[in-house]
Amino acid sequence: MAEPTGATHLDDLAAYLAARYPIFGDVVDRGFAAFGTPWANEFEATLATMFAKPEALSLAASGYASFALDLMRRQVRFERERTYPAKTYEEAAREVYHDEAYMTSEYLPGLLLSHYLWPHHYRQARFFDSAFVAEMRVAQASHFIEVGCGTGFYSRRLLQQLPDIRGVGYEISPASKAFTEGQVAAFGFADRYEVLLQDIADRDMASTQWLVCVEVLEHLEDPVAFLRLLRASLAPGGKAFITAALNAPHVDHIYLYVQSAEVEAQLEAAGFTLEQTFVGVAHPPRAPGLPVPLVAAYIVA
Amino acid sequence: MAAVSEAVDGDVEGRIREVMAGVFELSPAEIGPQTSKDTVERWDSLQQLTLVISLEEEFGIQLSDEETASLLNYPLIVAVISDRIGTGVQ
Ligand SMILES: C[S@@+](CC[C@H](N)C(=O)[O-])C[C@H]1O[C@@H](n2cnc3c(N)ncnc32)[C@H](O)[C@@H]1O
Repeated sequence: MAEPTGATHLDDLAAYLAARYPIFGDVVDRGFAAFGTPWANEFEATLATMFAKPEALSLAASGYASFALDLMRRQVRFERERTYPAKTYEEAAREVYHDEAYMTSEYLPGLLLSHYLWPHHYRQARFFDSAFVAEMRVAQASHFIEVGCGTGFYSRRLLQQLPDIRGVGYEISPASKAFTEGQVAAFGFADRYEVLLQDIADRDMASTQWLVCVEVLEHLEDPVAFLRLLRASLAPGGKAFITAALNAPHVDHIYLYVQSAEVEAQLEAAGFTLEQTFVGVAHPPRAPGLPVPLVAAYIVA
Repeated sequence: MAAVSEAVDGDVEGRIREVMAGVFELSPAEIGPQTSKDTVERWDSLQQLTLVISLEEEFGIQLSDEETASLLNYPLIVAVISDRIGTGVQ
């Protein structure tokens, strides 16, 4: 299936999408129009490092398209029903996190590319850099923990920007563990990072000054109980970067947040103090009153 | 025989036009070879999924990801659906 080898991996990604999934034919151009050269350089480096060969890039393009189309189908239903279909955490874990083939071919490459191709995702990453990583740099942070590292996108960002930092990721999905390890190794940071296959609800995690947890809360039945565990692992004076996805009916989202105030109330209920907030919309509402996917990110102490 | 298959084709096209009219809030008569994502204002990417889901329900079929992402104009929709339900022009 692979073919295009234009000047860059980014050109090829656009070409694969345009040829097989015309509805996504302009996503790369739109990203460039919104975020310019820094975005293109960063995205290109990621594609070139993780999907160097045309076959790998072509598969990642298909994975992204299937991931996004599945979400769009669910979004249409969500606009009508305003609820997520009932699903337990166990069911989501079995259907998604432990389905190795699905995780590896669709979910993880889809999610990774979405960090660049979805404007609210990319804006959230920039907020992470400017508000959280910058403080870590000033504080000469030496260690961090990421819970639910998924693709490894956020851990890798930290390892890349802070050359002396060491980190640990906690994951329950073997496929996510492998993908994160692959990404971290491909960028050359394997000696500063490890992933533990462990549910933090089962066994205490280590304590740290700097904690990251991106888009895990909406995957849980009881986010406040989970947040209390995160709070307990934060060393005195430590800070956490915690986010949630709202109105986003992904296959494995079981806890529906409609407004960012709900996330804030849960963070406070778990004992955190809010310091900074970022809320980003995926797109304008398609009609007045229709729900719009959002991400909400918090720096908390 | 030609007349029969024309009638069947015509019926399929009529049903497709009805579905599209419903999704895009147009009248079926406004829909024809020129109708595409570029000419219909309401045809954004989520509306494309609404259209695909409605076509799947109407014809009792499942469209693949590549089809879902490609059926962006009326002639292509007619060709793919006709082919799928076995009324394609031989
Ligand atoms: C949407 S992903 C997180 C996104 C990820 N931070 C990224 O940017 O790629 C959700 C991840 O949370 C993991 N997860 C779900 N429940 C978990 C738990 N109790 N502890 C740790 N990880 C969990 C899943 O396996 C999945 O990889």
